[in-house]
Amino acid sequence: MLFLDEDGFKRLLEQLVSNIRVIAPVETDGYFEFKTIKHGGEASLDYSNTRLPPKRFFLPQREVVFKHDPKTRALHEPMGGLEAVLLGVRPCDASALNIFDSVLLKPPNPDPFYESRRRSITVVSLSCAKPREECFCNVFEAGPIRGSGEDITLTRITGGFLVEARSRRGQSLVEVSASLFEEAGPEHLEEYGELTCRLTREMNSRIEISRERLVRLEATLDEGFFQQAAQRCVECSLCSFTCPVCYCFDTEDYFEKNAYVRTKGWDTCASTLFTRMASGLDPRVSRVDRFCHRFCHKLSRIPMAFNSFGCVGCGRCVSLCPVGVDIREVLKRWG
Amino acid sequence: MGLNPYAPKPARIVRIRDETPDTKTFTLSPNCFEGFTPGQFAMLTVYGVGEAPFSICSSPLNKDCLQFSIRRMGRVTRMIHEARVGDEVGVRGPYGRGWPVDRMKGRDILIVGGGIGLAPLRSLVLHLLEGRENYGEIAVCYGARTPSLLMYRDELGEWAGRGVKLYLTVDVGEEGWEGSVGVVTTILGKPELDKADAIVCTCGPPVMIRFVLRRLVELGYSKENIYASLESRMRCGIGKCGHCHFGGKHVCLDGPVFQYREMTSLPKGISPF
Repeated sequence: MLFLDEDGFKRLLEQLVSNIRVIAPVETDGYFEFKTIKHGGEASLDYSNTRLPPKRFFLPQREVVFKHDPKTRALHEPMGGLEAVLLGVRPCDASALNIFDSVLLKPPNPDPFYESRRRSITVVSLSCAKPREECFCNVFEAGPIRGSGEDITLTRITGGFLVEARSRRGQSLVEVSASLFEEAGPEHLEEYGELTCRLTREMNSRIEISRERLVRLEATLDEGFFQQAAQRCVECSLCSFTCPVCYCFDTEDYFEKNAYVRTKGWDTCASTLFTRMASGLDPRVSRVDRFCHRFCHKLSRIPMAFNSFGCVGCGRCVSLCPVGVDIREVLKRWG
Repeated sequence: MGLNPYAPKPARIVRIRDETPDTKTFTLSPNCFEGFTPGQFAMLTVYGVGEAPFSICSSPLNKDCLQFSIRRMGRVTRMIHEARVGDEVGVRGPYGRGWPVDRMKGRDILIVGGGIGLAPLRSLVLHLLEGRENYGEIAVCYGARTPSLLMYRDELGEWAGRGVKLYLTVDVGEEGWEGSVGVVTTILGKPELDKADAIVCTCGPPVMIRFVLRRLVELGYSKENIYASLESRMRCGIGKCGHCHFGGKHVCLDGPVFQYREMTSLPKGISPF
């Protein structure tokens, strides 16, 4: 563990900004959003979390996956990813990248667009200072201090930050500016320990879950809860689009500027179009079934396949749902 | 960057054959696949329009071209139907798990098709006929709504001539039809096969599959040996897009061919039960 004082942090940020694209939370209209910053002072680190997760830097809302010019027969496959440092990601959102890695990099067909972005972006997480009422990252051990998908974890303590390199890439970023860092002293580590206890205590969420019970969710849930929730659902899909973990995508083909283009972009299993086939047949025809699918996918099938949950407890779907559907209710009853 | 799994390879339509009033079989060349198992599928692209999954209906031993029987249904299939010989389409694949050909050596084989569901089974029949001596009895029970909706009518006789016992039925007869009338379950008892040991492969509309599975068990076929090919909307074919994910299974990776017991654990809707 290293210590970086306030002044060192400012200098590190200025060094980074002059060398590489730096993306950090910026306050706009009362919200915090990830934006490319031109100088260190633009970054605001005093936020609970950004309104949207940093998902779009890894899985853009829409991206071109190939262009094919029928005349020249040239095939253009755009590369993702400018080199960048993504600074100030909360541990929950960083943990979501770990789930992306499991699904999207799974052999034998890793997604090369995600892969190139993931390789080119260094993720620096910042431990939470004030969890919100709807946060429940502690339930999935996706925070509030450390996540599982970041290259460096920063934790704010008196006078600066504790710095933990979590990957080789994180390690080399630290080594480049080695003179700014010092070994963390006992007083730093003591404060870190206290902070960990305090934050975990302050987490509003006291849900106890058992992985063994959740992986059986599909078999055990009774549809009563889902019927109530599904009746209220207006299929706005905010839950999917603001989820740091939702990765399902749709593709779209069109002709533009002498070339055939294919894009892929975010999709949502809340939509009836998600499974309906051209024949009109739809294996998941009711909203209740779509609800069950969403929760079972996150809480039961991802853990069965990859040993991590498909939810990181960021709470966005809880706070943004216009009709108050709350995934924590599922956890309380069936977790 | 690794290979781009979302970019298809171009192929030309070299032949178009009318099968039924709304279904055509397209022959594409070159065959860009190094090989495939009967029952696997490919994603076909109509450039600028869209992409959809289709069963490969040609023989894996045909190294020159790939064939797909396509029913006019939605946007992509309508555009394919408007294509002419010489037009270019995109192909990627082969994807998914096909029929259990490794389990078929030395056994009787029952093939049950309904309507356009015969397409992935045709690939299997052609594969079996290439090594006819390696198998026991091969029976094909095939039904369609009317005689004019039977697929591959020119070929069915040839299959019979090469050692396939053929049983045809239609829901509604037409003038000149002398075969049986009734749904396909009514002819399932006709083939005399070693039921305990025979491998059964079926594909057709979901409701047909449901009743076929039930009837097969009644007739004494072993659940361990019964397989069906299911269909789903898909976007990627490689287990990433989430569209064909049902109850922990991806139709594109774990299917489209599922074993009887696997199907019993699929959620309702996609499960034929």
